[in-house]
Amino acid sequence: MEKKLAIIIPVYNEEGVIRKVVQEALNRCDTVVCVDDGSTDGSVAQIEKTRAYLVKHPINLGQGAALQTGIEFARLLPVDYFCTYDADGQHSIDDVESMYDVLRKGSYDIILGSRFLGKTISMPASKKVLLKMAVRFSNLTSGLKLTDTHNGLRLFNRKVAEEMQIKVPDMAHASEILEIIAARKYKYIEHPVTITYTDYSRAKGQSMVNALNIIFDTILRKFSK
Amino acid sequence: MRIVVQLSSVLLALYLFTTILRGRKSHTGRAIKKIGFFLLIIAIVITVFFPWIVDEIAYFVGVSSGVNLFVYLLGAGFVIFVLNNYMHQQDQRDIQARLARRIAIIEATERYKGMRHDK
Repeated sequence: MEKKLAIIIPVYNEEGVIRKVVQEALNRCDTVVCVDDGSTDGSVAQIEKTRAYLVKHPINLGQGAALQTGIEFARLLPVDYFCTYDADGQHSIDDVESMYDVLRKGSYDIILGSRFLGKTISMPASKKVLLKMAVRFSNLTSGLKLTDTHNGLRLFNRKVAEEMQIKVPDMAHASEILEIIAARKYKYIEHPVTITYTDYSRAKGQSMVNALNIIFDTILRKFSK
Repeated sequence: MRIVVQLSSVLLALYLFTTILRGRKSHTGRAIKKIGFFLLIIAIVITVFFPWIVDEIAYFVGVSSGVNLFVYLLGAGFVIFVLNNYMHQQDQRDIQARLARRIAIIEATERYKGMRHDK
């Protein structure tokens, strides 16, 4: 199926899984952009074995910065839609297909994946509690009403991609994207998705303590705007 | 009356705090920080040579003594200093990210020149 879609995958030390993830994405979508965020393992070599585009940060900047780089590079390509996709293999490419159909046929600017409308496989209870708290906090700070505020799977149109300017380089970018959606009044919708937690993704996932950094940065950003 | 003055002081401190953070890149914001710095030096001198003046100001704003007021001001100044430095660091990270991104995109664009459709 020919899609005018670019799947953007920020990559940092994902040597073990990245080739499989990229290959799965390429099987369904012609344009995959991997942004290597200064990996020190063999991630770059693994990506180079596929036909995905590879954009390499000279230094490690963080996932938010890598996403912005991927979006800016993908804007140069002949695509109309953009998808952000995690590199650790927790997303399902089937969800991208269904979200793409909704975005293409509907009148929305952006579609956000929600694991709480869909399903989660092997999700740790502590993670669930933390994410539920994050939902309350992010809804409060952004003014949106969402069921899952920290899901890496999002699809949006070119208008959003052209205007998107993620400034937060690290994991707090998810909250910033929501603030951008609210500020620019984009038409958004949530879509049920499946998130599969593996031993690998659990090990790679952000630590609970990082939630404090995100909360602090989000509040400070509100004050300093 | 005392609680009104105390609340006003706290609100004024919060206002100054947000004004300094928001205007940290503007000339006005930077000037406010320098004025604050000079006022602090003057306050130190007054506290040493004319402590009764600071005591009077302290009683007026509802603080028990001039020394206590001075400690509060130093505490507030320290918080503003730390947060301002943190925000400055964030701004520098943003500049660094933009530079690195520019390099990455130029390099990638060169590599994929003419390959966009048949890759």
